[in-house]
Amino acid sequence: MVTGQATMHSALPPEIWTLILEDLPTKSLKALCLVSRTLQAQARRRMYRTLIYCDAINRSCCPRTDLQRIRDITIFHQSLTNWEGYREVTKDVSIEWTHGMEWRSTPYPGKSESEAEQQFSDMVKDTVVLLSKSHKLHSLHLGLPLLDSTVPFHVDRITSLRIPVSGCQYETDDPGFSTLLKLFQIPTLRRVQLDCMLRLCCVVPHTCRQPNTSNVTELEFINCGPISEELINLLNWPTDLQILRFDITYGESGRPFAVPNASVRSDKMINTLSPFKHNIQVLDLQVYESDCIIPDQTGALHSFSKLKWLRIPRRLLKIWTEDLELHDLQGVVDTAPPIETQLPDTLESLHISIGENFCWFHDTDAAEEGNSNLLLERPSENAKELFILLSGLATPGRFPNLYELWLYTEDYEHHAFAPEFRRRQDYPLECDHTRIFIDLLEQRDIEVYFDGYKWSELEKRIL
Amino acid sequence: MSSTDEQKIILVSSDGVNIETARIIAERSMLIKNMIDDLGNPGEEPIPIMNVSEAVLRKVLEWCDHHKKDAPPEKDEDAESRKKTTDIEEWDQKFMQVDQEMLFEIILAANYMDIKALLDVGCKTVANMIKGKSPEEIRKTFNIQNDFTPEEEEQIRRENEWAEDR
Repeated sequence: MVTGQATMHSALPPEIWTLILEDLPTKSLKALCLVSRTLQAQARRRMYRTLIYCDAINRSCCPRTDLQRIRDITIFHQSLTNWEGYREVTKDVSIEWTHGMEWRSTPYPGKSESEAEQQFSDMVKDTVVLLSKSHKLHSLHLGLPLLDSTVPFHVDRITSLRIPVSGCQYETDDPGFSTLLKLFQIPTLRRVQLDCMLRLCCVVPHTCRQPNTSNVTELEFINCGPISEELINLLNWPTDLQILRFDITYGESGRPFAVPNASVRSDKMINTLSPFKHNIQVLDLQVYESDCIIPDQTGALHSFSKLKWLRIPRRLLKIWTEDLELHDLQGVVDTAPPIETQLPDTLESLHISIGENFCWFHDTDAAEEGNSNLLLERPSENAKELFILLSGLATPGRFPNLYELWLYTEDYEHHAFAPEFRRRQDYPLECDHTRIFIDLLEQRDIEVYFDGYKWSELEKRIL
Repeated sequence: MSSTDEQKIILVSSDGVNIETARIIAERSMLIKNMIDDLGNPGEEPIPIMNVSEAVLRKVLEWCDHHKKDAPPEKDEDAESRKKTTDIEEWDQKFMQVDQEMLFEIILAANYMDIKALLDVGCKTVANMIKGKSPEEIRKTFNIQNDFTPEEEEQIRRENEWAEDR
């Protein structure tokens, strides 16, 4: 029985404490560590379960000077040698060190680390070696400051790497494929993020064409460049590539970083990916096309026989008249083929960027005439066509495992605001077409999300 | 409503008070549900709830009554898949506005009676009392004695500086 004198940790048994700490952010766990010895013991176990460090600019734990950085990590290293308890709790570790730089200002290839940077990297290495001894270790991720970093070769049990391929920014012919290959061949490695690989058309040297020599199953290109068939020689390294993501990050201008390098030609893309169509389960194509002719790729994904999760721009489903305005193209398809002939039946989760200006529009003429009652939302011809096309997802007997459809008004040409900053009329909430479409999909137990929210939630969020 | 739902049963608190309640309400507690399933003939014999006093038991049953129509708890939900959130629905928030002693008693009772959702709400309530507070404020809130030396405090602060705030 609790008495007035009882303190909180004596009133609740440790197993309850474990539950309470479960929901707390690291900041609160840090505070709890300073409250009392008993609580420190509890909070530390929780805190050391997932350890994350990133020193890129603007991150919460970015120390100001080299000296401070080295001091902090040395103390942390020391704490691991003092308290071996981490070996019973540490499960996930993620350490990304950039020597305090922006990800994108990766150094010139071949540039070596300064003495202080070398010292820091050595300390990271020693710390990660200790952490890799945890009996509970499940994932160990390192974000390297340089492609040439040797740290990964000194640590066992690395499961994930983020690697800057900075050579691409300097137009070298070979951004370091032999080093990349060595990294890919680390036996425990399963996941790789290639950062700033802005020219995916670099020729892979013959000595580096070593298919099926890597255990990597998940590969992500961050800030990637235009894809060419040359990339097949890199995608070939893994024996079983299951997850593949291409991502473009926005620069400060609101345009994708490194325009025009970040543009992607979808014909190259599909040709490059098709050798892997019997392995890939997750495919994320956050890409856009720019200044190039859009060839007809509709149906190209149908033969991806294991695909479960897919994110694509709408143009991969149909070439729309408005997309062609800038291109003098002849003989393109007028009607999109039915969606069940375009996408495989294995799909479970489908994500489509439809673009901000593409969905619904407002009848501004009516508004200007002063009759606000006529302010109706109505679909454009393009939007109607898209929704008719997508309603094929509810075709009886097809897509039996599909349970969600995510639509984004954001795409990589039109950076849309979050729903919180948008107006009601930006979304077609009350439009009959929308209701019918959603009802149809919901009857098949397919949830529809718009910019990350269910319709019912979206309504509460917009202005 | 089926007859099982309307069925009444009697619980006996640790301080010996009989409390009559509907079976559907009491069965939010897996402890009680299992006891009824094992014993058979529900309602015939009072069920003793050994570790929970009358005041706390009534409070717990109030929660069970409000949540009697919720979906039954999922058995194989593992801790990893649990959503990391401290969001609590409004009714539960008000329900948990009790003094600290009662709050802890409710948590202990929920744990003993195996009412996962209530235990969850209780733990989240305590977590919310900790969130955003400094070590000193946490000590004040929960009446905890600081047993660190200033040197030890500084050492711990430095050790933890490295981990990113999330």
